[in-house]
Amino acid sequence: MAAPPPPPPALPDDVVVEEILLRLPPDDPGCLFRASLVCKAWRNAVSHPRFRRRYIGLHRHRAPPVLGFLHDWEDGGIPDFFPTTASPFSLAAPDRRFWRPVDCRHGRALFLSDRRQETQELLLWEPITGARRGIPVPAAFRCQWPAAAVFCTADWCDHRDCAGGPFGVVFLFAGEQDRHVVTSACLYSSETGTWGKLNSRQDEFTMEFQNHSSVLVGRSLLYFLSDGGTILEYNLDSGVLAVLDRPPDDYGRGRQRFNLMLAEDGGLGVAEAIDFQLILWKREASDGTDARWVLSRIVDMDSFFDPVTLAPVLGFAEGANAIFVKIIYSLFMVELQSEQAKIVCSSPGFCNLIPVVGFYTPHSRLQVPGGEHHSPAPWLKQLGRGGQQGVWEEKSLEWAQVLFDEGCMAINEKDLAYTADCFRHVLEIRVRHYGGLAPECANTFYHYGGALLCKAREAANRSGTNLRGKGQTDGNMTGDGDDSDLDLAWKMLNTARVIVAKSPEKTMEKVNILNALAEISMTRDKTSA
Amino acid sequence: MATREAGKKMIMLKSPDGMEFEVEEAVAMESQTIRKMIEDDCADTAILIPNINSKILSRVIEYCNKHVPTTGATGAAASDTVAPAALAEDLKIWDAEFIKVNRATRFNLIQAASYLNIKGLLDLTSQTTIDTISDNSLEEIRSFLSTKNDYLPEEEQTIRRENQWAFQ
Repeated sequence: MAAPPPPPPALPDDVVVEEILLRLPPDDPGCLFRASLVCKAWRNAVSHPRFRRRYIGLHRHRAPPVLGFLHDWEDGGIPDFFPTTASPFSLAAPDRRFWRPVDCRHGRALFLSDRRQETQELLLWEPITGARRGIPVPAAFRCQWPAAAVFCTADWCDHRDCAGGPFGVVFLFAGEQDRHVVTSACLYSSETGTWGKLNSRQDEFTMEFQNHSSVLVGRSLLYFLSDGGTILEYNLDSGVLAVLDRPPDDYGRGRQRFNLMLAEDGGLGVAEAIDFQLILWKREASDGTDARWVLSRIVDMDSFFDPVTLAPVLGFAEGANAIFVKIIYSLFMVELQSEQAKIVCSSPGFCNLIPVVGFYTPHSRLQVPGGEHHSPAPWLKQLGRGGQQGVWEEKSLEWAQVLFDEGCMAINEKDLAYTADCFRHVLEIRVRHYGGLAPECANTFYHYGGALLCKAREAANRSGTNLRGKGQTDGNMTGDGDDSDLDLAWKMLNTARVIVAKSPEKTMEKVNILNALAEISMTRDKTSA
Repeated sequence: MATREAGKKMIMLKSPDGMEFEVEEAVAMESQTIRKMIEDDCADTAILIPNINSKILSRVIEYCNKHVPTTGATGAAASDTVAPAALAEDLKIWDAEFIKVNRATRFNLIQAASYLNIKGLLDLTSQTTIDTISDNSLEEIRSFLSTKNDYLPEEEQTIRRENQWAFQ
C-alpha cells in the first residue's frame, strides 16, 4: 500500500461551497457579493485572501472585467461609482462633491480634492478593499486643472491583484516660471512617501487637464492628453517630459474629442470617434528613432447601431481593452477585442470618465459601508508625521480598538478566520500610526500571531495530522492557506519578540511570546512528521 | 496492485468502503493529485482514496475514462479518425448526461473532484450549480443549498440598508 494521501477536510460543505463560488463570473461581481450575504460561512469563504488568490488564478485566462466607472458628472441622481455590470453592483467610492476622480489603474483610483479648497489634496482609494489614503500634492502646485496618474511599482507584478503594494503617482500641472509658461511633472513614491524632483518644460500655452486621460505604456512611459488635445509623454525613469504630435487629420477632426488608449501591441494608441466609425491609431517607431502615427484599425459602429454620429470617446479601460463612447444621449462600452458594444447608461452627461477594471471579491465584513460622505477636512489634519506619509482615512485608532474587541469576541466564538482578519486590520492601522517596531504594536503582533497559530492548528486538526504529506505541494489544493498561516504566525510573533526584547520590564509578555513560538515549532514538527 | 495488461500500466484505487478499482495509469492521472503521487513514486502498489465512497469514485473513474486524451494507441477512439470538433461535441453531450445526478451526488462529486484535483470535472460539477446562485434571490439560494441564514436580524438589516442595490 502506498502512503494514503491526506484525507479531504472534514467539512465537505466548505470545499464544495468554495469550488462553486470560485466559478461565479468575474464580469458579474454582484453575484459574489450576494453570495457573501447567504450566511457567515459563505462570507468568510469569499472574503478570505486565499479565495481571492484562487479566484484570480482560476480566471487567469481572461482579461480583468470593467466593473464600472468613476466620473464627475453633476447629476446627483447618478452614483459616484457607476456599474457597467450585468446585474446591480456598487462600490463605496469617495463622494464626488469633495473628490474629483482623476485616474484609476492597477486596483487603485486617484482623486483630487475640490479645487475650491484652500489646500488641495490627493486621495488614493482601492475599489476592492475600500482602503483610502491621503497624499499631499507637490508643494509647487498652484490651483489649476492638473492631471495625475497612479500605477503599481512592484517588480514583476502582473497587476491583477496588486492593491496594497507599493505604488507611484505622477502629477502634471501647468504654471508660470520667470514669466514663461511651464508644464511640470513630479513623481511620488509610496515607499518613501515623498515627491521627487520637479521636471518642467517651457510651453507656448498653459495646458489644462479638466478632461484629461492617461495611459501607461510598458513600465516607464506615461502619456497624458490635455484639454486642448496635446499629448504629453512622461518618462518615469528619466523624468523627461515631451510633447508628441497628434495623429494625422486623414479622417477629419472637427470638434470630436479623441482619447488615449493602448494599441493591440501594447504601445501608445489613440481612439477617435468620427461619423459612424472608431478610428484607432497606433504609435509606431520606424528605424528606432522617429515614431509616427499609423492607422491600426477602423471599427464600424453602424453595425451595432442605427447610423448615428458618434460623440467623443470618453474613456479607455486599460487592461480590459474597452472604449467608452457617447452616442447622442447614451453611453456605450465597446470591447475592442470582440467588437461587442453595450449600452451602459442613457444619461447625456459624463465629462471625465474613469473606468474601474479588476477582479472583485468581497473584501471582508469590515468593508467600508456604502453611502458615507467624507469631506477632506477632518483627515487632512491626521496627515502622518512630517506630512509625508498619508493616513488611511477610516482606519483611526478608535476603529482599531473596536476591531480588536471584536476579534477577541470572535475568539470566544471560535471564529478564528474572522479573529485573524480583525487583528490583521488592527495591526495595519497601528503599524501605520505608530511604526512597525513601536512598543504600542507588540501586543497586536502577539495577538495576530496567536490567532493565526490557532487557525492553522484548527485546520490541521480538521484534516488529520498530515497537513501536507508527500505529493501534496500543488498550490491549487485546498488547504494551501494553512501552511502560510503558520509561517505568518511565526513572523508576527517573532516581530513581537523583537519589540518586547527592548523593554526589560515586560517579562510576562516575553514568556507568552516565546511560548507561542515554541508551539509553532511543535505544530510544524507534528505536521511534517 | 499495479499490473501490466496489454502494455498498459494499471493502478489500483481503493475506496474507504473496501472496493477496489483497477484503472489505467493514464486514466488515474487525470487526477493531478494521483499524478503527483505516481510521479513521486508513491503509488507503486495501490492508492487509498479516503472519504470518497465507491459509488462516487466509480463515477469519477467513469468521467476520467471518458476524458483521458485519446491520442495514440491507448485511446478508445483514435483522434485521427474523428474530427476534434466532433469529439468535443460528443464530450459535451456526454458531460450533460453525466451531470444529471441529484444534488447530494453532485456535491459529493465536487468534493471528490476538488480533492483529486480534476479540473474538468470540478468545472463541470460546480458550473451546474452556478446558475442557481447567480439568478436566484438569497432566500432561494439558501433553501436550494439547505444553508441556514445565521445573520442576526439587526445585522441583516444593516447589510440591506447599506447595500440596497444587491437586493433589487
